[in-house]
Amino acid sequence: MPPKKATNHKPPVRQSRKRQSPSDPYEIPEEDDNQAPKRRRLAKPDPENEQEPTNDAAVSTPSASRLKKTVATPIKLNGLNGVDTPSRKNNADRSARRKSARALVDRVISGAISDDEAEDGDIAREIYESSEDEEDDDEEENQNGETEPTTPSKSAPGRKRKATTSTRARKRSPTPPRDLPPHEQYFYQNKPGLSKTSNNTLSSLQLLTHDEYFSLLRDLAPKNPHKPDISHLQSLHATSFPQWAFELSQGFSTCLYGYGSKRHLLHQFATYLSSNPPCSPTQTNKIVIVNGYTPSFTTRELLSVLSSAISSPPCTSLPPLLSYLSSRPKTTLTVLLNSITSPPLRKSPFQSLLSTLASHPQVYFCCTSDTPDFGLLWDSAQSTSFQFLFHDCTTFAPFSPSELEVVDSVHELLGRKTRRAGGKEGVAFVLRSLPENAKSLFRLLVGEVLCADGGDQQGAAAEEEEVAVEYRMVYNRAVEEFICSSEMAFRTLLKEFHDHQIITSHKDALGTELLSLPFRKEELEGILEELTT
Amino acid sequence: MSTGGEEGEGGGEQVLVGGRGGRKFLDYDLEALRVALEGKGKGGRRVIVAFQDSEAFDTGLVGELVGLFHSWQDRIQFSVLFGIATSVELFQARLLKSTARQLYGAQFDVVQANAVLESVIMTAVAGSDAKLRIGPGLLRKLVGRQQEHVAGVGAFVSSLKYAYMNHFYANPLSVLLADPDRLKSETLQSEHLEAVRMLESFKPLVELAVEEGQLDHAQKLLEEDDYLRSYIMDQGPKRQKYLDRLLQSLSLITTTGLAKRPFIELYEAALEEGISLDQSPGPFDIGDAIKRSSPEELLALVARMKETIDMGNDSLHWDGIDDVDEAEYAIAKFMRVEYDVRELLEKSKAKGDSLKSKYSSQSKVLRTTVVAQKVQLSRDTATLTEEDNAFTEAIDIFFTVFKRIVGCEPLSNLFLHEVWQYDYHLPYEDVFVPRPGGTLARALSRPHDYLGCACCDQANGSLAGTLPATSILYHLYSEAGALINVADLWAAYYTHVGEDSEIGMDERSALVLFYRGLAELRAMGFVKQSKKKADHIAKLKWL
Repeated sequence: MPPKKATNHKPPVRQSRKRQSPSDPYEIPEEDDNQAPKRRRLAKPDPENEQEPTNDAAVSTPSASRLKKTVATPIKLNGLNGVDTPSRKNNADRSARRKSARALVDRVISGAISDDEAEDGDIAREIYESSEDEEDDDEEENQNGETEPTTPSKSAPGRKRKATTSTRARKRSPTPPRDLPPHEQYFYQNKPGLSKTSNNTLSSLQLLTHDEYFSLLRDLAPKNPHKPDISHLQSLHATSFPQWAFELSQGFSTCLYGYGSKRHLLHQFATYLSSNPPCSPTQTNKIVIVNGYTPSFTTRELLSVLSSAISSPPCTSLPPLLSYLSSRPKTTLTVLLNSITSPPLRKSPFQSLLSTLASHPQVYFCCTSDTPDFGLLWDSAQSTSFQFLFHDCTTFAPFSPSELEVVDSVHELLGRKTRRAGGKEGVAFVLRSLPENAKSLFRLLVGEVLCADGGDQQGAAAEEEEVAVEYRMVYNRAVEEFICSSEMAFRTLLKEFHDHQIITSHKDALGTELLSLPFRKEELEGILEELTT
Repeated sequence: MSTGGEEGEGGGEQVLVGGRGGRKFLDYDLEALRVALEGKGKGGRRVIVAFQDSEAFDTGLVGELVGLFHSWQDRIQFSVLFGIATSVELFQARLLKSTARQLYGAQFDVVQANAVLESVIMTAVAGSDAKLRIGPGLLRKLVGRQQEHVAGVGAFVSSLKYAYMNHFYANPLSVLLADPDRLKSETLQSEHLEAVRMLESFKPLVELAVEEGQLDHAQKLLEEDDYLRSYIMDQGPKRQKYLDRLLQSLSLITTTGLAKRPFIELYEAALEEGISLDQSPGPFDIGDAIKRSSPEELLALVARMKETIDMGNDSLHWDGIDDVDEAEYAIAKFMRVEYDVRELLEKSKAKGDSLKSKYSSQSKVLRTTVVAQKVQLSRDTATLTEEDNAFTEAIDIFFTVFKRIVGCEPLSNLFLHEVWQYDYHLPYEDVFVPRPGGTLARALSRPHDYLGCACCDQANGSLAGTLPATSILYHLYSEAGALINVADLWAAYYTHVGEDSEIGMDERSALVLFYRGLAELRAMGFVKQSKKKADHIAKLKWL
């Protein structure tokens, strides 16, 4: 077995290398000890050992002789003396590990747990995992023991293990070094092998539904202990309004950034601007507040709002709008944009449109940014035409539901199904606007899915897997029931469902097209009930 | 894609659609452009199509456009302007041969950004027209940003504008910058005077008066409003005088061509430390260089000096030495030096010697002689001829005069310099070079800094249950590794705010806030979904 053979030689060689350069500032012992042997074993077998795969003479190769030299150092003697202890400790570790594994399994089977049980479980897991990465070393050691019980190389891993147990314990501690600069922290945390997380899942926790979220939030919101502080902070920002208006009047645009919703602040600013416009007294100022966070926001909408604000004929592109504005020097336009970094606005054409708009002398532009990455959004030409002045407006104000879809966002993050259409009611709402045969098709689809679900129920597994039905089969049924006569018509109907995200389709490994509904079983039953009555 | 060509035509075509004789043109018809050009009369008008960033432009499209323009060349005069960042050869290599043949071009080199910046600074910052002096600290920041971040000159100009805005916005003392003939002493209210007495430059003024024994003057400054008022009114001419002196010194120093640093640095140093030729090493230690110059160099130097004293410096808007007496004195001395040196040159030429001064010639020469296989070192003083001594004298005279007309004190020594110098770089940095990441990290890790609430006072940057939910999650987030288990995150969160903690929130309410915090972290781009493990999220930001 060539790969195993390689491991017999590698660790001591590595050690010798290490001893040669003890002052290497970037050497991190625990990392090296855990990872290097594994990787080397997998990546490329030593050519030396390839040539003589099973030969014991490998010991006499140059690498082996180097090995002997290294183990003759005083450190090695320590290893020999202490060789008993680690092995005994290993046995203890291993049995503790076995016990903790059993505890974990028991816990998973029994399902729900109380709080102090969870603590026990955590300890068990810690034991289980801390021994997990020692396992590799154990295996290594075992092999050494089996093949060459009396060679000095055996003692080397033993010694190493003893030396590294303390450092490993340090690594296990939950807090990594905290005063690292961000880039160092990035590399520290992205080290392979460090990304060990527990196998806990949220399965025991019942996730929030929209209804529950909002009803609880309604009770919670008035109880927020920081409420007076937040409004005080906001009033502090409000004292800058004259300054911002002055900056706008001087041809700059302003961008407000920082943590918290700035919608209310911007609204207040708009109120301020309506009584203290940044333009000269002879001009009339129109104020437009644009909510960039709306997920379906388009340039077309923006243009139609702007053109109605300055009462110009509707425009489909910006240049005619701006030339219309130029031809009326008595009118100025103030555009206040919420969330310039929201996903629909991030596209380059949108930003270049905004920058062209902002650079017009009769347009005053102020925007807010909720993400810290706005600097990457603009190229140099765009930033020149924006002429941004940035202000730190940390408000700590909670985002309103229209700005942030909390429940959907979290469920998407967790990879759970998001109910975009808004559950049962949403489906009913969508279907109401569709023709009769679309309703029949959906009813058919729900029925089929429920049938399939009932057919192959396999306990917990069925809940995880989405139940899907074959496209072809549904089509045949639809034709049978005179819902549609051609595949074309069938596709058209399905597309409507797709558009409202009340149906999903994918292909399985064989290439069969499958249709499924992104709802829970109870919901499906409810929908079916509603459709049949 | 629709930069350059298309847009240029767009302007003409918009006006014309449905133009003469009811003929309608399609949007892309160049005929429309031709009719528009003819309609505007005169003929012979050119259409210039500029490609700003030709490297980024689709080569095929450039080729087609050039072909199209070429085929219309008999009806519309097209000129194409390419901005090329690399080299003409590379650009040509990208084009088809047939396309390249249709182009007849000339190369215009763009002025280096640094040269543009320097001329902008000379005119708008250092020049005599600039009312407000941008202080050396801020100027250094501004120039540094230009050089490090490759921001355009436009960015510099708007930074400058913002500095002016900052200085004049809500600054009552900026009224003192008004023209002396328009500033009436009645304009100054007692509040103005009180503000002036608070200025940093007021204290040294009074202290100096006390030291010099002008106790009456000092007392009046402190107590009598009218006295101070008239004293302030007198500062206008003094300021002008200082400025003239500053520009005069700088112009003359740059005229010598011996200063080793660029103008911008000289200007910064002059404002900060003043100009003194004696200080060595310093930015203005050109004394040695002047003294070492050869007779020919000295003649050229004198000629340049005379011209500058007479004509001033155009780019600084400085028109020569104002003080007639001083100017006449300097020019007379310089002419004398010039005359002497010319005479000495002729004399020494006739003798066959070369003219040198004691500064330029190596006065002491080390001689090595080998005697009986041993090296002997002997010092020898090179003899200076009579002419040489005379030339040395001429150089000394020149340098004395030069020192007399060059030199000024630092700006901060002046009374009321706060009124006409702006040197705060913090507002500038906050507004032009924001650090949103740091701001966000601070807000989330130390909410108390912003909220000033009583409950989070104790936390002091560490984790506490009273913090806003997002802030707690951020703390946990920054402790976590690259991959975060949401179940564990929730458990950790719940131990801080849950029923067992001081906060004592019930599970569902805590979950609502947890949801919100997580959604906010996601919206701010801190986390994304991870498919590696169930219920795991990946960390995206390290702030």
